[in-house]
Amino acid sequence: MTELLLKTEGLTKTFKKYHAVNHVDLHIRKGAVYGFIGRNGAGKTTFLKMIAGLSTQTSGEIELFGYKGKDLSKVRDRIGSLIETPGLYGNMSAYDNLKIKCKLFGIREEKYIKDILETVGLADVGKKKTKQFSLGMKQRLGIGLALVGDPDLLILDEPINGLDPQGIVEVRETIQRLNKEHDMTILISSHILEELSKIATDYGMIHQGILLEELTKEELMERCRERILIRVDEPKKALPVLDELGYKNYQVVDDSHVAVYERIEESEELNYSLVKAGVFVKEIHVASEELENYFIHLTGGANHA
Amino acid sequence: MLNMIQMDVFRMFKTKSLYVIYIVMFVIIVLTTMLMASVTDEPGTPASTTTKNTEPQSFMDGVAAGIVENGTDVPASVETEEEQEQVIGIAVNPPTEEGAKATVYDLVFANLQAKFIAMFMVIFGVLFATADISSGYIKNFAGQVKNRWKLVLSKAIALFFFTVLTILLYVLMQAVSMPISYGYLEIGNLSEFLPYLGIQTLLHYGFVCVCMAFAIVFRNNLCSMTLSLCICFGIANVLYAFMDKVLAKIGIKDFETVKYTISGRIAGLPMNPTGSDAGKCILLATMFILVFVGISSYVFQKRDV
Repeated sequence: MTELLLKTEGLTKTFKKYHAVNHVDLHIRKGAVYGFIGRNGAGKTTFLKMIAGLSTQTSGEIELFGYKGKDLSKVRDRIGSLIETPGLYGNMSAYDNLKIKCKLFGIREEKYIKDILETVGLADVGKKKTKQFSLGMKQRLGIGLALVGDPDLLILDEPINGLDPQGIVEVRETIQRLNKEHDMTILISSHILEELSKIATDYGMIHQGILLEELTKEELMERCRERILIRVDEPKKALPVLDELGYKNYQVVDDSHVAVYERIEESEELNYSLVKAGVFVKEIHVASEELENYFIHLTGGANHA
Repeated sequence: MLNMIQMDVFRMFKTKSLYVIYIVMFVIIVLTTMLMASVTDEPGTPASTTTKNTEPQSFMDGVAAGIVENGTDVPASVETEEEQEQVIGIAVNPPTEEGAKATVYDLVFANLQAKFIAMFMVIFGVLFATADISSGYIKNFAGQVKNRWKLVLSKAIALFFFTVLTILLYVLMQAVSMPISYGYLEIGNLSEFLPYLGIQTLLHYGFVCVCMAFAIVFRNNLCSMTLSLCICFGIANVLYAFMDKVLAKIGIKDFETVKYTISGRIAGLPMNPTGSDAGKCILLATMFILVFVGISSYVFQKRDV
């Protein structure tokens, strides 16, 4: 079984009567890039704040690196986080902003700070004050600050929000590099699903404070990929026909749908064969789904997304 | 804990407002000293008619709006304890005796008891205490420390260094400005000056801790700074007088609330404090420090970042 780095059980945060996060059971594997998907106000930031130790849960439990309850404080320093907008001292340079946090961790080496600046692509900013930084630079410095102390779990809340395409690519590359080269587990939230789909290995989808689904990238791709969707009266009657035609990759979706994931271009022949075999085909079409559509369907339709 | 203190002290010296406040303080000190010297030189001015004003300001000051130098508008010497009025504003009354040479101690006494230096301290204290909260920098590390309350303690310790440094710098500024304004340098009685300075430093630190607590609890710079400055300017004296009257009505007569406040003690500490004066001031300052650092630590620990 894959080692779980983070596990939550019934995690709940309530503001007066409003459940911002409602009984969330989330699981993150070691080494994963976990994409935490949800629309604005879904409860992503509140959840991440609880994991990062910035907020206390109303109920439920967090298990991190095998520690939970009061023992959590032992591993809090193994988490780095960038929650919401980067918190920086505008009148100081990137170097000084990093140095302040390094002081807290007892890190004295100048090289350590320079290495972080290089990792996040800010090695050449010199003494420029951070208030003069672009949003992308600020985001990258925010990630750099989260890296101080060499965390095992990096929490990034909407790190690409408001960035231009170049900035998005830079942040994406930084995240991928940290995951691969430093073997860092990353929990990243976003509502820009297309971008998230380029880096995430696992997904959790939250809506109105409730975690709707958790799945791996493979599972998600499976659900989103192109397929022949057949609506029949009795799916079990269609299966021998599919076997006879040599189809191996198919799935009974529900009591009226069968999905076929291969030889997509042969949908007409398949239709003919099914009808010829006496299967009443109500509908047959080639379907595919973007991650975005999948999420929209999951959360109850476009009007909610 | 040591790392936290180092972090805060480093941050303090990297804060631009620290230097701005020191520069403004220096300029004002030089200007007011020059003003006091020019008034003293004028024959027949109240400065030459005042008796040695070594008693608490709150027992001697008249009503003064704004900053009044040398007590020219405040016939302090003619008031009695029974006739006391509360001060609104800052009244700087050097206690120089008739015909005597003004000393650095006289000027320091006048400025400290008037809460003139305290005013600069609380401005910086509030800015410093909330800088990490208002900039959002706190989010970078608050979740990673085992006990968040220690962050407040660390700030309080950094502010102690600031208080001591400010008092020392102020005395130095006053010593430098004296030859410029008066044409001579006379320190005064060191055996009285040093204990007075020590007690005032502790009282001022207590006051800074109170203002830090305002800033942390209210999470609002404007509100906490206004409140702190109101205390500096003696506006809180109106409230104390009201409380005294209420207490008198319920049978507790001759109670002076101001004597049990840190600002009251700053204003009320005589030039040659007795053992009893010193003891009361040290006890009160210690209590205020413990209570207000305790409150702000507790609030910060319990509250979400």
